[in-house]
Amino acid sequence: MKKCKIVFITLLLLLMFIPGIVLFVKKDKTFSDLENRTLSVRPTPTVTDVLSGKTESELTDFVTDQFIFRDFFMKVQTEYKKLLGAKDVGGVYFAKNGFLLDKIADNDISFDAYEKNLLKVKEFFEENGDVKSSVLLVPSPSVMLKDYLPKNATFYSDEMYYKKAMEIFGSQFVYTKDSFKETIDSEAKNGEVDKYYFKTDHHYTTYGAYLAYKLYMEYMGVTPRSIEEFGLKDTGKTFYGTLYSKAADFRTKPDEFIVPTVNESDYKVTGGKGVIYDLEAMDRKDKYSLYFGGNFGTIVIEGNNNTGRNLMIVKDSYANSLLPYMLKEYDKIVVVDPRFFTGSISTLMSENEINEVLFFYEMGNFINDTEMRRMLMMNK
Amino acid sequence: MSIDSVSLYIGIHTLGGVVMIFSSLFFLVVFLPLLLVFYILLPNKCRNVVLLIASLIFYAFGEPRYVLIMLSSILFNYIMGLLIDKGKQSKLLLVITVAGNIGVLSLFKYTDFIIGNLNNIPGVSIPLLGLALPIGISFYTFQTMSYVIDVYREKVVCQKNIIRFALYVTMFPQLIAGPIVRYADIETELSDRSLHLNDVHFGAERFIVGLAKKVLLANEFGKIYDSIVNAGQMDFLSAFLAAVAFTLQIYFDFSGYSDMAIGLGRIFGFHFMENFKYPYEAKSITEFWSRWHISLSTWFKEYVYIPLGGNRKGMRRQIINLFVVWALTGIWHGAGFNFLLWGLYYFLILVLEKFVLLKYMDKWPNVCKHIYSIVIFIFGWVIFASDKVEVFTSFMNGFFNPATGAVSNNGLYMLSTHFIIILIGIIGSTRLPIRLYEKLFKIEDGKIEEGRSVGAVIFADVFLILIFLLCVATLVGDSYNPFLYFRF
Repeated sequence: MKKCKIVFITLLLLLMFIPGIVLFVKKDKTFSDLENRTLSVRPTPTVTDVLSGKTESELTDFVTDQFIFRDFFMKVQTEYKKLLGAKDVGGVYFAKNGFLLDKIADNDISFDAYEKNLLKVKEFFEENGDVKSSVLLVPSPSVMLKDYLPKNATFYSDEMYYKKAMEIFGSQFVYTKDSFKETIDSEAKNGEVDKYYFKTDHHYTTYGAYLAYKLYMEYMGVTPRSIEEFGLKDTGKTFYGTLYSKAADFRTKPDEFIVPTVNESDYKVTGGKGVIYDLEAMDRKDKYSLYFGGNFGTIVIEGNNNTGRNLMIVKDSYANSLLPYMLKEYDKIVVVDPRFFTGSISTLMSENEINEVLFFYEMGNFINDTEMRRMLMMNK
Repeated sequence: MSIDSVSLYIGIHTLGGVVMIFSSLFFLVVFLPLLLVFYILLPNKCRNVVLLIASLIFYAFGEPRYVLIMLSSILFNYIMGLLIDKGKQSKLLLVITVAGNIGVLSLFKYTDFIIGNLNNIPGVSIPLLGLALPIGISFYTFQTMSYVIDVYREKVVCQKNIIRFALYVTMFPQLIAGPIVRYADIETELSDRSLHLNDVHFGAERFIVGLAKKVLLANEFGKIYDSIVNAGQMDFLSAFLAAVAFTLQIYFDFSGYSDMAIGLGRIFGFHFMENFKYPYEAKSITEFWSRWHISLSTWFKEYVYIPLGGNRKGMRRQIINLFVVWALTGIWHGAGFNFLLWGLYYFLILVLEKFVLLKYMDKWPNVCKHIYSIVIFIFGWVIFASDKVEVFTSFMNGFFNPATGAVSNNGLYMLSTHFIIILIGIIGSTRLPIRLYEKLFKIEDGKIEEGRSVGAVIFADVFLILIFLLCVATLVGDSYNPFLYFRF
């Protein structure tokens, strides 16, 4: 009896001690690939920081972030919660066919903020009445894949959001939801329904991006090129996307990554990393950053297409995979990401002789956006 | 209410700082093992000092300035204890001591609440003090008061050794969430105790049980409650689920914390009183309160109710005394009308039971007694949880207004994805699991500590080690907040 009590106590002490010692012995990991974020590292205490509680707070974060087998424990936790019947973890639904889908309820988003965003854009369009302008909001993955959501799972009422946009913009709004839905439904019979959105990432795939391209071209009265013309090819790399980072487990399978072929030498890219495809991304966790190497304040793409069309696209990351399809349609494309842009877009427009403006966002991102509104307000 | 409901239960409001809680990885893998090694390796006569230093570090972690308040309180009560013991003017000294203690507690806990409400009167505008409530002040103030009052009553000998006295007040296992240990209960153990294998073993087991209650159950129920309440107006099913989730959260959170405190105390050789005895099994509200947060109700009984005359001065006086006790119990939990209302709610029900109901209830079948008690205490928690009027109205509309509907999608979703954990919670809040364990290993009733076979111990310990690992996994996983950290 005495022996087993000693064994229990020793084992417990070891289970507490080993992670503690490892924390202070091993070199800190600064970035978590699994979670796609920077980790807290060992703080250097100062008297002021200790007295204000800053060091203690950093120490607490450091211990959890640098914990031994952190990735493993996180996956264990997800599996345990699933075992108990959870259908969502970390704000992500476990949907059918291996899809992870962002959980956005009506209460998580603000219709008022959305309306303010729309009105600000409308105001901007009115100020630039001579430029052909429009808004395209790509439907949220969960809206398109509603049938895949767990039973009774709540999701925001997207209908009223689209209605509001049409009411404010009229013909300047490129309505995409029905077309997306139709295409996806028609392909459901061929079993290809899953190819438009990544299963583990919050983005759409290159097929989804092509759909958006096609719809926008039709809206502009231009005949879209067929998908075959773009020479889609598999990069041969698989990846776990941002949604998986929020709900990592042992069973989810990674996504494939297919992209259109782009002839870099045909284009001059200014800003960002100076390329359309940043091949280094293939060694990073975030494969989606192959497109331009991520998001940047402004990127200007020039090509010899003699179309007489100069486009400015104000966008979120959904546009990054759209742009490879747009390259041949314009002489110049100015890409503005308000999250990283600090200048005046009016100046940018006149400098680049812009004659077409597109606001291109995924619906959820547009609703939650504050940076674009800030940019437009600063523009005055 | 946030995930850490203990913090609300005992009114922790830190100004952006952190608090070292038992269910944090820092405590589990840095603080506790280091302390245990020092405590075990150093000779017995150093152990009080080790524990005192550890307790001060524990308390200072995150908000070092407030240690000064606690140290002044220790010094003040220590000196007053000595003076009262001398016997001159002792009644006056006692009054000064009690007033001083309550004064400091009120300054931090209630002043801003009172000012805030006065400011609602037109024309009144008093600036708020903006003081953060020192952690554990409600607990240690009550402990020091129990000491000086008992010295005055000559129930305990005054403590001349300041280290021992300081250790009694600061002892980290019970410092921030109880149980409220009366000085008399650990008087001898402060000066005379030793390290025993059985104590360490049983204490460690108890600690893991408490940790699991907090991490695996209470936090989960907290998420269910938050997720339903934050989703807006509740339908009947959602309101019901939220109320059940909160009921389970508060029990597992608080009793889990008490288990951890009792377990840790035991490791160091202290026997703290039991704080919870399966309160949700109670067959009346009178019984419920003899099983819920026992150290607090005992304190109020001993230091308020009985000194006021208890039931010895006639029925009218008794009702007034009960009113005082329950109003105080309510606001002890925090400065808020919900807490006051909650205290008075129990005053009404207990008076009703004492003078009318209990006679009739004798004849009720047990099932009815249980249902009656469950309905009353769940409704009590709804009042308790309603820190905002809107929360309460949302609950009431959900329960009683047919317009909100019987079931919503969200309600069904929450039910279907959480019924397993709710079931575990309900069973876990009763004696059933421990009965099963006793039956399985043929342990005599109530002899869980000394009457176990080797097989029973091994079974429990293997199970508890696995549970401990699951707690660690959950703590690691929960630390990740995607909405705060995400970078695109």
